[in-house]
Amino acid sequence: MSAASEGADPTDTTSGSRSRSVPLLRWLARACFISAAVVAGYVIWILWGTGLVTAQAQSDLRSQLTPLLVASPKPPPEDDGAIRLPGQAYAEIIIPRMKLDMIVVEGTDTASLMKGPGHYPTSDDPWDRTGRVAIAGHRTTYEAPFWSLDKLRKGDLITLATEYGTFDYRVTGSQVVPPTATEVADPTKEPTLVLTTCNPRFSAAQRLVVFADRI
Amino acid sequence: MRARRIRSTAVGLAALLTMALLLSAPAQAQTYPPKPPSIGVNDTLVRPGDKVIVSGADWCPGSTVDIFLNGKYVTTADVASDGTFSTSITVPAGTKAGPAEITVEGLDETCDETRVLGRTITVVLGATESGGNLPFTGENVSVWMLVVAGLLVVGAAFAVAGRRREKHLRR
Repeated sequence: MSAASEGADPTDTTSGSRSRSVPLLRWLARACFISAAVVAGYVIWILWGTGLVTAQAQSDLRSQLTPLLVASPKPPPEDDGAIRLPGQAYAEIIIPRMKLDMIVVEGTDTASLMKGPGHYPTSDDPWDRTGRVAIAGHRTTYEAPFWSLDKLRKGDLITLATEYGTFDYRVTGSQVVPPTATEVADPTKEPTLVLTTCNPRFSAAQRLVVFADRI
Repeated sequence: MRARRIRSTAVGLAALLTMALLLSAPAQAQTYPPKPPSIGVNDTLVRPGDKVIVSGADWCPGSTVDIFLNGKYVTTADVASDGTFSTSITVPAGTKAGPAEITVEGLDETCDETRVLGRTITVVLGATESGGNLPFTGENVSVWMLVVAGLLVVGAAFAVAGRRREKHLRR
C-alpha cells in the first residue's frame, strides 16, 4: 500500500477525485505548453519565415525590372490610364538612410504586399507632372521593408527608378495617423511622394506616414 | 421697252439678293460671340479607383485647367489650340459613397476671366472596398505574443497545481 493511500482517510470521498485530478492538471499543463509552442512557431514564421517568400519574389521582380532601368529611359506614356496588373514590378525604391533597395510592385492588396512595397493603384505615377505617388510597405513580416521608416528625417533622399526615368525625392516630414486617414494619399498639385506603413511595430493600430517632395 | 425695264430691275434685284446671301453666309458661320466654356464626363456612376475622363471645350487655348474632386485638387490638364482638353482622373480610394463634384477651373474663351464649372457624379462602393482604410502593412504580433505568454502562465499554473496536489496526496 502506498504512503498516499495509507495517509488518506478511508471516509474521505474527495481523495479519490483529487488523485484523479493530478493527471488532468498535468494534461492541461502540457496542452497549454504545446499550444504556446505552436503559436510561438506561427509568430516566428510570420516575423521571419515570410521573409523567405518575399526574398524569392524580389529576386524574380528584380530580374524583370532591371533590363528596363536603362540609361536612356523611354518617354512616359501619353495615356496615364495604362493598365498594370497587381503584383507586377513597378519601380525600384532606394532609401540610403534605411539601407533599403527593393522592387516596388503595383497594388496594395495582401498578395502584392507579400512581394514587396506596393504602389497604391489609385495614386499618381512618378513620371506624372503633378500628383502624389503613394507606396505602402510592411513594417514587420515579409522582409519588413519599412521597418525603419521612423528613422527617416527631413531632407533624407528617396529614389524611385522606373522604366520612364529616375525620380528623386526629399523627405519633408512624417505623421502618425489612424488607418482611416486615406487623405494622406490624395493627389497634390506638386509632384510628391508618400510612404505608409503600420505603426507601432508589431501592431496595425495606426499608420506611420512619411511625406516627400520631388526634387 | 417697259418689259426690258422690268427685266433689268428683276436682274438687279436678283443680283442684290445673291450678294446679300453671299455676304450673310460667312457671318452666320462665324462663332460670334464665342461660346462659353463647357465640360463633360464620360461616366457619372463610379467606384473608388475608377478612372473618369473629364473633357472640355472653349477654354483659353494654350492654357491649363485645374481639376478638383469634392474641392480637392486632382490634376492639371493642358488646353489645346482649339480650346479643348481631355484627361482622366482616378477616384481616390476612400472616397465616400454618394454624390461627388468634379470641378474644372481655368481661363475662359477670352483668356481674361477665370471660370469654374462643375459636374456631379455618384460614387458607389462595391463589396471589395475596404471602407476607406490605408493598406494593412503589419501584423498584430503583439496579440499573438500575449496569447503565448498567457498560455505559458496558465500551463505553469496547471503544472504547479498538479505537483502540489501530488505532494499533498503523497503525505
